[in-house]
Amino acid sequence: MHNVLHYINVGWRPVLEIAILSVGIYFSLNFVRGTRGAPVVYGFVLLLLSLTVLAEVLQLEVLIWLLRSFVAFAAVAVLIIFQPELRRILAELGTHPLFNANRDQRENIEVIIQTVERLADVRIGALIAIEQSIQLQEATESGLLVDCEATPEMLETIFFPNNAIHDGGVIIKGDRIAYAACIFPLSQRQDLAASLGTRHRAAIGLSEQTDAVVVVVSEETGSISHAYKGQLVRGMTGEQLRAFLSSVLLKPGKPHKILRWLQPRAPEPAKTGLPAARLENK
Amino acid sequence: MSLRHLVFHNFWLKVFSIAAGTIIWMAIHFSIHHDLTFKPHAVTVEPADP
Repeated sequence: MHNVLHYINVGWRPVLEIAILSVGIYFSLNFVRGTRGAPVVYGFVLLLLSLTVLAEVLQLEVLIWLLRSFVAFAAVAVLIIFQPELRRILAELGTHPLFNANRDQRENIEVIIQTVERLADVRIGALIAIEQSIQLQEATESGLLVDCEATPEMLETIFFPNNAIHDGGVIIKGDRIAYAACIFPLSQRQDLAASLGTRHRAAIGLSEQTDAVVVVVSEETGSISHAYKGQLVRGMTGEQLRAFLSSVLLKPGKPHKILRWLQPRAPEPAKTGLPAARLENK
Repeated sequence: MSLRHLVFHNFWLKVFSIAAGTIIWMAIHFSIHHDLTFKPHAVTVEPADP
């Protein structure tokens, strides 16, 4: 018994250290996966590991010394490569729902759904960004101040072809159309389909750098897409878009993850065949 | 989030992370251990002949 207690007393520290390291590695890999810097990081790590193994096996002391010194610079390289992603994550941490109440955007969702469905039917291109916690300051600098109530009619008017401000994106802040004809940053990712046009690349680009939800209507196909956190989902129906926007924008109604985990499991809304937004209205 | 989801979501990535964490911990641990036990060669100074 005494020996067991001794081993527990000695052994918990390495276990804790390995657990912390493993969690750190898991979240780092999860974070890197799917970002535009992923190929760079994979190549970099592979090169570093190969060189380290080679240097250790052949006892190349100078190379070992250089590699150890280089690790410090690697941290700076990571900061530079993942600057947009890190900025978004840090901003999200600072504006966590635990510390900051989000606006109820239920009305916005209906306005956007109606607008994109109508525009998709007549194949008019649209690019709509819904601002959340991170301000879209850079994008607004290139745009035109509108500041009017967000209605489907107003949005359709903005995107109507040959309109002076139909090019570019619209930014919605709260329940108002804040800016129109904004130029969003284009995504630099190389793995995007060649068929994706500038509008979709701009949607991905803005969603990579901020926590905005961007909705796109394709001028060529009339398909509806959304971009969020650098991920583009294409070919959505109005109902699917409503469910997605509800899950992202209607945060005040949702308890924190830990609280939800502790609570007894309620029947899932999807099984009823009604989207989340409609259920909450009842 | 169910316990099943917690365990089996990205399962192989989690296994890989634990393996990598263990290897890194062992490498650093034994490196530190080696440094602590390392003793420089003793330098003996012979008394000069009178």
